[in-house]
Amino acid sequence: MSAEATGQAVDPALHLELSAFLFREARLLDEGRFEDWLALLAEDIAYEMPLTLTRERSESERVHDPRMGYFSENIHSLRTRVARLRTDYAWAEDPPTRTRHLLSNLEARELEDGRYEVRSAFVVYASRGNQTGWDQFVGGRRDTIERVEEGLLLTRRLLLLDQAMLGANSISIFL
Amino acid sequence: MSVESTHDYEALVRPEEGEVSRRIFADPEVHAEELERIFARSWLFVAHASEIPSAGDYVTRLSGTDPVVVTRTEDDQIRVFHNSCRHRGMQVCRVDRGNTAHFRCPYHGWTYKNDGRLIGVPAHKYAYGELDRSRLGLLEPPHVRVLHGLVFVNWDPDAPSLEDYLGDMLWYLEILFARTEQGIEVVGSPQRSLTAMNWKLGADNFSGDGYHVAMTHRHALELELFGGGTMLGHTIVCEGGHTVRFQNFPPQIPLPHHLALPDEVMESMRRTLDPDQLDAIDAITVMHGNVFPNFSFVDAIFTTTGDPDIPPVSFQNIRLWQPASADETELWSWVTMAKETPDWWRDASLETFVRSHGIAGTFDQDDIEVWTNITAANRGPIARRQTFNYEIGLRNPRPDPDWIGPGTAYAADYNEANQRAFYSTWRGYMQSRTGVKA
Ligand code: FES
Ligand SMILES: [Fe+2]
Repeated sequence: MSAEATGQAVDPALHLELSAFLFREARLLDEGRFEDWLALLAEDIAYEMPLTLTRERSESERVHDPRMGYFSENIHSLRTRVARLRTDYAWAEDPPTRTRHLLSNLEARELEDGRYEVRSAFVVYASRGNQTGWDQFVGGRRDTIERVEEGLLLTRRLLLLDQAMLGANSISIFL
Repeated sequence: MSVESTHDYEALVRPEEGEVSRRIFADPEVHAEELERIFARSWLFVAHASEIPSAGDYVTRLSGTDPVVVTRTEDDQIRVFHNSCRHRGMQVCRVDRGNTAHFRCPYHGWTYKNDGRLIGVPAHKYAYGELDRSRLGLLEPPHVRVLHGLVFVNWDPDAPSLEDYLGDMLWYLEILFARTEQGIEVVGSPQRSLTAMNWKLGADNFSGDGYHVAMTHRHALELELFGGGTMLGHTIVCEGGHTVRFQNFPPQIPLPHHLALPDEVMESMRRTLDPDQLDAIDAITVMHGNVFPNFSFVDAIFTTTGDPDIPPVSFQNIRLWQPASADETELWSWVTMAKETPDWWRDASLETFVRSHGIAGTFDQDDIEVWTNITAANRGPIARRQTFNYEIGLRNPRPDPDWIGPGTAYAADYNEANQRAFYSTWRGYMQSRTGVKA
């Protein structure tokens, strides 16, 4: 998972287009527009977040569990998660968590198959109920984006969380 | 050592009347006494043998709140040690897992082999002249027992054997963990989160709460991910506070049998389990329970997760409710499956778990929302004077003398006999003044 992406860094115009796509995607999540968010995902999307482990430096290649994760999603399970939020019984998200997805350190490259890879750092603040503290989800992200007729679509999201022991009670939001 | 209690547990915990004080879920003193009286004297699950398959492998875990390291030695023995140097207490291992022949303490450099022996003391002669290293190995619990791959420890020298401690519960644990010839294995590492809840709320729920499913997990009914409440089931109380709940589907509903386990597993299972054990999981939607105090399990079938790519499968999940403080619990959650399981079924089972019962799963989110909110509501002095209600099945117990397994069985999907057994056992430990001998 640590291999450097091959391919060329994209030109500034494309960089701006890709970042605008990701910023909009983040805003749709923060605004609770989950159906609009789903429309930005490719039918074959892989949305994954492996476990993070505390390991010795000599084992730092194996910090992320290759088998177990907090998310192992495809388009169907993401649609189910959104449909759940629209029932009256998604107790963990009703009242909804107020989220703020911050995205930074974007590096975009073109992959050999014509898709784009954007690596970034994310900080998601999640404010729940009347608690004064935030749940914070911080890590690195590797997104793969493809161009289709209608525009850009997310085809892969790999979330590499920095925390090994989650400080949040659970994860009831999209990252 | 004995700890004088300021609490009258006889008055606080009255499961026979369906009442348990909310104080025991909130009071830091009660929590401190639980660590001494329950966790330092019970058999505690720490790891599964498959997590450390090769010589030198280790994982770090907790027993109660004490850090331990679980190792596999060069001669293939599983050993468990207090993860703390005998010189001044530094943790000798500070990562989740790895492989090593020895642990070197970062403070002054005492070095221990992975069988616990102290093998290196810097400037030994100059500093000590004489030092009897043989009595300064890593501290080891007096009892470590590996049963069907499950590694348990007990810090009480006078503890009963694990088999005696589990008693009738063994029959049920075999269904889960000794169902095939090759046994089960853990997939990957455990999920972990520090949840703002008292540990007993998790154990209480897993011990046998069928009553919450239709409301806490109602989204799944709305989305037709599973059918309405079948109202068929059994709750089983084993001596020692260990409990199980089975939920059955009615015969007219054509759901897959035996948890939709794949042929490779079924074939081995038929040769391994006895016919009654096979029968017990023939027509169930879920089997879950709790081994006192904090080791829970669930084996559940999902006919659909809403994902047409996934056939009906089940998943097996084991958990620890680690008692970090009165209002904090480290939730540790593993997936296990039979070693015979084919790859396609492994993937489907793992995904079904992650999406539903993982820490980001659609079921666990809502359970955890409930348990953390209860814990917040327990903080006030008014709440602590109140009790929780455990009256389901108290006046209509529906005993089932024909049940095919051991223990005391009730033919009821909704029943709180299991929780009552849990708290009655809890009270027994808490009333006993004898803690671990110093
Ligand atoms: S504390 Fe370990 S060597 Fe001193
Ligand atoms: Fe639940």
